[in-house]
Amino acid sequence: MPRNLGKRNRSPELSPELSTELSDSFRDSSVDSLEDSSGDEFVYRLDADILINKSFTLYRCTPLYKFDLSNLLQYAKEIKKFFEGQVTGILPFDSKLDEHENINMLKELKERKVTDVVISRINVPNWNDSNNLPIGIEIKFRFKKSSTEQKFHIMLFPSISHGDDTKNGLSFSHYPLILIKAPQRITTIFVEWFQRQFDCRICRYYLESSNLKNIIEEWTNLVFNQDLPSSPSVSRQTELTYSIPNISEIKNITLRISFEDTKRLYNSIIQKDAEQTSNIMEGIENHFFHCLRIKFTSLILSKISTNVGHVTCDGKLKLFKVYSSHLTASFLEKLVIAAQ
Amino acid sequence: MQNHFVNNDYALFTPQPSLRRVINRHSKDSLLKIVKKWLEIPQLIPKYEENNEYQQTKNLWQIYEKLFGNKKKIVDKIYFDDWKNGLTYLQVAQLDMKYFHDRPNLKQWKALKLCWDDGELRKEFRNKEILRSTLSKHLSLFFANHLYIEVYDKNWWFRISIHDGVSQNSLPINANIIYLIYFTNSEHLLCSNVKREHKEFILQGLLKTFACQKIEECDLKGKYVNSLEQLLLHQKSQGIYSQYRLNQVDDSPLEHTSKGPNIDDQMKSKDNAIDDNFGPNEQPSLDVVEIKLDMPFNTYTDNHLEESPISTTVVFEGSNVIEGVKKMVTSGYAIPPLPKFLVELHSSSKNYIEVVQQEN
Repeated sequence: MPRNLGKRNRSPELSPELSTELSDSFRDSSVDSLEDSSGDEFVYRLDADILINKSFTLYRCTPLYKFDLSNLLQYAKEIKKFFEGQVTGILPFDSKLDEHENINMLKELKERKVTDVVISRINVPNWNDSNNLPIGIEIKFRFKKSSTEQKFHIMLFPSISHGDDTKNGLSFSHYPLILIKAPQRITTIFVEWFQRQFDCRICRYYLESSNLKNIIEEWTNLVFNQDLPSSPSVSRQTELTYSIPNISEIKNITLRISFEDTKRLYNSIIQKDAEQTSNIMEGIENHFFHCLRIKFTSLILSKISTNVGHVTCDGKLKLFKVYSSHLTASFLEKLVIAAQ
Repeated sequence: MQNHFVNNDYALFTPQPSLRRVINRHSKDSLLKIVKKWLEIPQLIPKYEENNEYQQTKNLWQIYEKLFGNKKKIVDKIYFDDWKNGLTYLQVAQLDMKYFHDRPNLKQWKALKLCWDDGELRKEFRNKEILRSTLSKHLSLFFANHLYIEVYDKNWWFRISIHDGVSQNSLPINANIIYLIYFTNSEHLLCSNVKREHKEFILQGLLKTFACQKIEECDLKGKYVNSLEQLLLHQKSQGIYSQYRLNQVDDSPLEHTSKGPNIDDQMKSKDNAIDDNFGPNEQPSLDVVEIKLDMPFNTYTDNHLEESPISTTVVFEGSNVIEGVKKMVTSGYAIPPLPKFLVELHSSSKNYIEVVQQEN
């Protein structure tokens, strides 16, 4: 999809980035004019860089009702107003928090001022469906006393196989996986707004042992199958952490294999089973059974860490900047498929 | 630097926030016990106008006993009232020593071994004062320090407080205070974390004091002092042999005639396998065990072994790893026969093991 920047002749004052200087009414009118002229085009203001080298918490989301992609700017305004309302106490707090937490939250938020909320598509190169890119929300905060700005990101990933159900007359859109990097208070406020607005339910995504095993399989397949132009700049070892149900004396057992040895393991498994997809987890667990006589297949895999990134069963994810960005899309797609 | 023993027990630390923290972290009970000890040392008794010292200390002690319910009042009385000029080195050492002796798990201990060459005379100490003066003399060559030794029935605890770079009246930082546990009549010591720049000097001091040729740092570390003691001192009587050490063995085995083999016996064979290896008694606690395995990759469907080994590391973490391994066998997560290095963890006295495939 070409980016026709020439079509929209935006003067600097109209750009939402500098909107903090302008009064609300002026900004409203400028935004309206943008919506009129943009039509189907979206501004790719967020880059796939925001996905790398940060620890995210994973959330699952039920289908969204009447989530209109053309209204993204409107949604940004509403989120900003909602945050400001929460800070000044106009809107009621989440009733699930108790009094004490509410007061703390108010105090903390009063220190900060929401400077801007930006919602746009994330420009993830090589995403499988370029019409349906993930959506990113960037919330900028600035402390009243200082000039430092903090940015928090929330990312919505569209489902891979389902299409938008608008064709059938239903107005549901599917974004099964959400990545959030923000303090707990901000997350709570955002989740509350989102749930009310789109009649959905967002909850933490706790991964199971089998999900983690699938993720490792997919990631190693991608990494070792691809003809990478050059070897990765940093090669981290593969680390698998298991916990044992019912035995409290051992908190966890961690297995570490160097990158080169993981590659050799993978290659030797591939050679043996040419038709089947490799099952590297089986290979690793068998190797350690042979050495230690411990059945890792019956233990619970709680954390994985490879060259690509690390994922824990609590639902925390971090991707490393080791491979070129075109692989980032593939890694995330696998995660989305697992979440569907 | 002076080359003789200087008893700096009664030098003063002036009142400062870190001093109050040292007093405050204790419980009411232990504070009262320590104050009672102080009131028995003539140099430490706070001076008031009354001439009769005995009567004065008795009164003072009664006041403290009355304050038993309120810790803040006790601390205030110590810090602002009775010892308002500050606490002596000895008092601070006693406070710290009690605190850490009651909570040894707060420190990370590393095992040291004293090595004497064959035929050399081993220096042993029966008298704490002589040991103190010897060690202090050797350490004073390197830095200003205060050494405090306390004798407990199983072992002796040393507290070395290094006053390098701070004035005489201010408390050194926690990282400059080192604790050592000496197992009397053995060649082993446990040492808490030492800064790299001080380690060589401490080891030299110990070397000279005990007149040994070498001090080795063993591959064993952990939080649990009792378990480390067991692993170090009773290395040869762990697992099933612990029954001998703990006097659980039948004195006259020839008296009972054995019955014939039974079906029940076969069912118990798994339990026997565990007992044979680990013994029926409680296992000493290790909180981290790291095993480096360099074994060739081998799947169980294919017997062909690759030529070169894969280097991997396995780390077990928990409150009692050896006991955990034993439980894994009973629960079925580990299938006997377990490899030798895993089963003999208790007798190896190490946290870090390297396993290499042998050339056959």
